[in-house]
Amino acid sequence: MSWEYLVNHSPALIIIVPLLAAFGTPLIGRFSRKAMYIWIIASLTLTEIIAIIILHTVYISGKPMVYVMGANPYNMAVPPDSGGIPIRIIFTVDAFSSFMAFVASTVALAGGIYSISCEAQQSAQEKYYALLLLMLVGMLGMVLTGDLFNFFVFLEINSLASAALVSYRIDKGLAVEAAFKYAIISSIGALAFLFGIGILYGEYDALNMAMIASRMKFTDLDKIVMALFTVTLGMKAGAIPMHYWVPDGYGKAPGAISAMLVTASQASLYGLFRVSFTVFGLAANTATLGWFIIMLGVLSMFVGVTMALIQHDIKRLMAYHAISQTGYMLLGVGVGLATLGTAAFNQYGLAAMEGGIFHIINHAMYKGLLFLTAGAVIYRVGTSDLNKMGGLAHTMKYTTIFFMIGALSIAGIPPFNGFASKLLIYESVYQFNPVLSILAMIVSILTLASFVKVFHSAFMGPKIHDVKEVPKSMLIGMAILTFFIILFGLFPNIALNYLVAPAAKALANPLGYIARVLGGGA
Amino acid sequence: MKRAVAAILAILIFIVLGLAFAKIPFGNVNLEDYHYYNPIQDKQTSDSVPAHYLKEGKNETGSTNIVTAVVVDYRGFDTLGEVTVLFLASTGVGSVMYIFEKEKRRKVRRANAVVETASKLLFGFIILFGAYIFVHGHLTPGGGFPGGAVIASSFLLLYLAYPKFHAEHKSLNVAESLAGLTFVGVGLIGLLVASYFLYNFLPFGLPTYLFSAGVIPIIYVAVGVKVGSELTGIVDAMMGVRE
Repeated sequence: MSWEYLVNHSPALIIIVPLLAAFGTPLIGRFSRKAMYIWIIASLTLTEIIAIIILHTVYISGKPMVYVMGANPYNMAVPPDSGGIPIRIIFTVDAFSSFMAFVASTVALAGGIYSISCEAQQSAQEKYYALLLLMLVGMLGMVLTGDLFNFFVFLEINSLASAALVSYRIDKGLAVEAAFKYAIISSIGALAFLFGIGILYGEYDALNMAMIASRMKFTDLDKIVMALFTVTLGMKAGAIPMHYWVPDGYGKAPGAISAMLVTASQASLYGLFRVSFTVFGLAANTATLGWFIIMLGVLSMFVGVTMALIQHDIKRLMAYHAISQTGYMLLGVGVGLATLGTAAFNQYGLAAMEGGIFHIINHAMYKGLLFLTAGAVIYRVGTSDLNKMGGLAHTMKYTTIFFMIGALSIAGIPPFNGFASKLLIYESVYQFNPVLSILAMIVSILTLASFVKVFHSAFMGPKIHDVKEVPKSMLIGMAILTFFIILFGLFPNIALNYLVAPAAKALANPLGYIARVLGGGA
Repeated sequence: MKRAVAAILAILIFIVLGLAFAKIPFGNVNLEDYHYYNPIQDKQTSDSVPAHYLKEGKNETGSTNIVTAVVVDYRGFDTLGEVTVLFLASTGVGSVMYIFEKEKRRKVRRANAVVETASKLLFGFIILFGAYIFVHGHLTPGGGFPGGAVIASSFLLLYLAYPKFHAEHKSLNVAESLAGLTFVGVGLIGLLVASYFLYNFLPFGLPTYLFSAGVIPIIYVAVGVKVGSELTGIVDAMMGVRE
C-alpha cells in the first residue's frame, strides 16, 4: 500500500469508504453505540482526507484524473479493441469535481460530529448514520462521475437518502409530509432526467459524457434533452420556479441534515453546470443557455430573499435564503456560460465564473453553519418559532458568536468569506450587465435586514428561556465550518488560487475534458 | 427447531441439485456474431457500446447471459448503486414506520386451512426457485434482483397465511448488511489482489457452465440475499403489528 497506490485509486476509495461504513453501521450499532460513533467519525475523517488527496493530485497535475471501474489497468479509459470508445463506467475527476468533493465531505464531517449530541435522544440511530453516510456517497458520486447513467444512479441515492433523513424526526407527521413531497418531486425529476439519458443513448450509443459531447450534433431531440436536464437539475438545486420542496425539506430536517441538504443541492448544481458546459457546451448556443441560467439565478435571488423576509420560522427563513444564495451561483456561472467563447470571457466572464464557484464553497460553509446554529437553538429551546424565542445570547455564548459570524458572512460583510465571492460577482457582472449587478446588491442588503431580524428576536432581549450552552460535539461541528469561513474571509487568495481558479478553468475547458477521456486517459 | 431443520434440508437439496447441474451447459456455446443496428442513425454500427457488449461480452466477462455481463461486470458499479438505493428504501421505510408499532394494532382474521397448508408446502419451493434464479444469473435470464423478489414473495405468502407471523428484524438487518459488505468486499478484493476496483479476479472457467464467469455469481448471490431480505423488511414494516 504505497502512497502512489493510494493516490491512483483515490477516486474509487472515496466512494468505497463511506459506502462500506454505511453497510457496516447497522452491524456495529448492534454491539455498542460508542463503537458506532468512532466508526462513523473515522470513516468521515478518512473520506475528508481522501478528498484532500484528490484535490492535491488534480491541482499538481493540472489535468483531470481518470478512473475506470473494473478495468485492467485502472486508467485505460478506451480499451484497444473497442474502436476508440469508452466501454466501462469512468470517473473523470477534474478540478471542479475535486473542489465539490472537498465541499461535500467537509460539511458531512461537521454534520456527523454535530449529530452525535444533537441526535443522542433519538431512536434508530444506526439507521440515521447509515443514511447520512449514503447521502455523502450520493453527493460524491454525482460530482466525481463522468458517466451520465452513473450520475443518475447517484442522484437517486442522494435524493432517497435525503428524503429518508428529512423524515427522521417525524415531528407528528409534519416531517414525513415534507419528506414525502421531496421524494415525489425528486423521483419525477429523476425520471425526467433518465428519459433525457435514454434519448442521448439512443442517438449517440454512448453514456460517457465525454463521448456524447464529442459526438454531439445538437439536433431537435438534443434540445429536448437540454430542457429536461436543465429543469430537473435546476429543480434539485432549488432554483425558483421549481423551489417548492426547499422550505419544507430544509425546514423539517434535523439541523445537521439541513446543512448537508445545502451541499446535496449544490451537487445537482454541479450537474447542471457540468451538463451545460461539458456535454452541450461545444455544440449548443451557449449564450441562450447562459441567459436562461442567469434568469433562473436572478429570479431565485430576488424571490427567495423577499419570501425569507416574511418568515417567522427560523429554519424556513434560512431555507428561503438558501434559494436566494443559489441564485448568486447561477448568476455568476451563467454569465460565464453566456460569454463562453467570446472575447468578453477573458475580460470578465471567467471572473464571474470564479465568483459563482467561490460562492458555492462559501455558501456551503456559512449556510451550513447557520443551519447548525438553528439546530442548536431548536435543540435547547424546543421550538423553531422566532416569536417564542429571545435572550439566548445570555447563556448560549458560543452559539451566538457562531450565528453572528454566519449571518455577517451571508450578508457579505467584509472580514468574512461571503464578501470575497460577492465582490467578485458584483464587479464582473457589472461589466456584463449593470442591472443584474445592482439587483444582486439589493438582494444582499435585504439578506442583511432579514438576519438582523433573526439575530434580534432569537438572541437579544431579556432572558426568557433558562437554557444551557449546547454540548461540546455540536460546538466542534460548528467550529469546523467557522474555521473555513474565517480562513477564506481573511485570505481569499488561498481559496481563489488553489481551489476556485483551477475549478473555473477546468469547467470552461470542455475540450480538455473530452481529450483526457478519449485520448486513453493514461 | 423444525423450521431450522427444514431450512438446512432445503439448502442441502439445493447444493446437491446445484452440483448436479454444474455439469450441464446452459445456453449456446457458439453464439453468432451479432450486428447492432442503430435505428436513429439508420445504420449497422460496430464501434458502439452495445455492439461491443454483444461482440466481446462473453470473452471479457465469461458470462453466457449478456444482460448479466452488462449489469454485473461492465456496469457493476451502477448495480452497486442500485443495491444501495434498495438499502436506502428499506432503511427509510423502517425508520418512518418505526413509531406505528407501538400505537396501532390491527385485528386480522385467520386465513383458511387451504391457504395455510399450501403456503407451508410452497414456502420452501419458492425460496429454492428464487435461489436458483440468482445462482444461475450468469447463465439464464434472471439474476439477483428478480431472485431476491421471488424470495421476498415467499415471505409475503407467510404473512398472508399466518396473522401472527413476523420475520425477525435483527436477522434481516444482519443479512442485508452482510450481503452489502460482501458486494463491496468483492470489489475491494479486486482492488487488493489485482489492484483494480470491482475487477473480475476469479478464473472465468468454461462459459455456459455453473462455475464460470469469475466473481459474477458471488456478486449475484449477495445481491439476491440483499434484495430478498430488504423487500421482506419493507413488507414487514408495512404490515405493522397485527393480532
